Amino acid sequence: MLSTMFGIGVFLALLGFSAHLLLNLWVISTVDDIAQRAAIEVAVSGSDDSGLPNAESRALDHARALLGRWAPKVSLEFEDDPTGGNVILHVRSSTLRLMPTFGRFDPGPPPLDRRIVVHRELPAP
Amino acid sequence: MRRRPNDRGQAAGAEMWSVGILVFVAGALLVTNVWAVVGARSSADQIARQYIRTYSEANTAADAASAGQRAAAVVASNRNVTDYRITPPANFGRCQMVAVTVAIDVPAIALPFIDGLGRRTVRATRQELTDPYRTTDGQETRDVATPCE
Repeated sequence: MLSTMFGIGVFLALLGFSAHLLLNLWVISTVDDIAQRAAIEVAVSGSDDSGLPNAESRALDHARALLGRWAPKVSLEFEDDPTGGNVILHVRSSTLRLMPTFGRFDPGPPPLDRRIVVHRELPAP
Repeated sequence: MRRRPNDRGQAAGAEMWSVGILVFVAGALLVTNVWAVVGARSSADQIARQYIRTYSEANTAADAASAGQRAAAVVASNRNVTDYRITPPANFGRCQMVAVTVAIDVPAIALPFIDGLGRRTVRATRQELTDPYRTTDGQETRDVATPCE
């Protein structure tokens, strides 16, 4: 009986770890892809500096719609590019919590914190 | 009286724990490695995209190569990619089809505490037709009647 319980415990722990890892990788990939699409949407909008805020707002609304219920856990923030030639989107996302943390050891990938840089398409002068 | 040892009281299958654990660990490592390849492919694609868009908008071949490298470095830095190789386009100019290939090495088997076993190269190629009506090398579009002929 004891060994059976121990075996089941090990099985559940490893199953939880695997699910935690896989789901977090999936979340990171999905959020990264949606953020990439939002940045490209702004970059190819052809907006000049005055129209850029509107394009960014539209892209963020679209991205949040795609994220659905996960949207409140994602921070999407467009940043100013000193050169003016790029669109920079800072994306941060928390991870799923299926497993407890063991001190400083977190069984899973780190939270997403990335800046996406896309060349801005501007009409020829 | 001395008792002879037998199997009474033993639980069967205890030796299979190690096999089960190994299967889980191997499976988790396999999936993590597959995801690392997917992530590297995504990074390579974004680096190549940024390079080629910057390259095809430059006015001279020298400017194009340096601007493309700088643009690629920015994307690589933001995606924490340090080990990548760029095969730049061999040609430059309007109406030219330019292509760039970005290669990133990822560990074939990522293992904790060591740098991984083996290497696998992930490549992404982007190509683009340079705008026929743009200024290149000081030559204005109006200087030629049909830029692509």
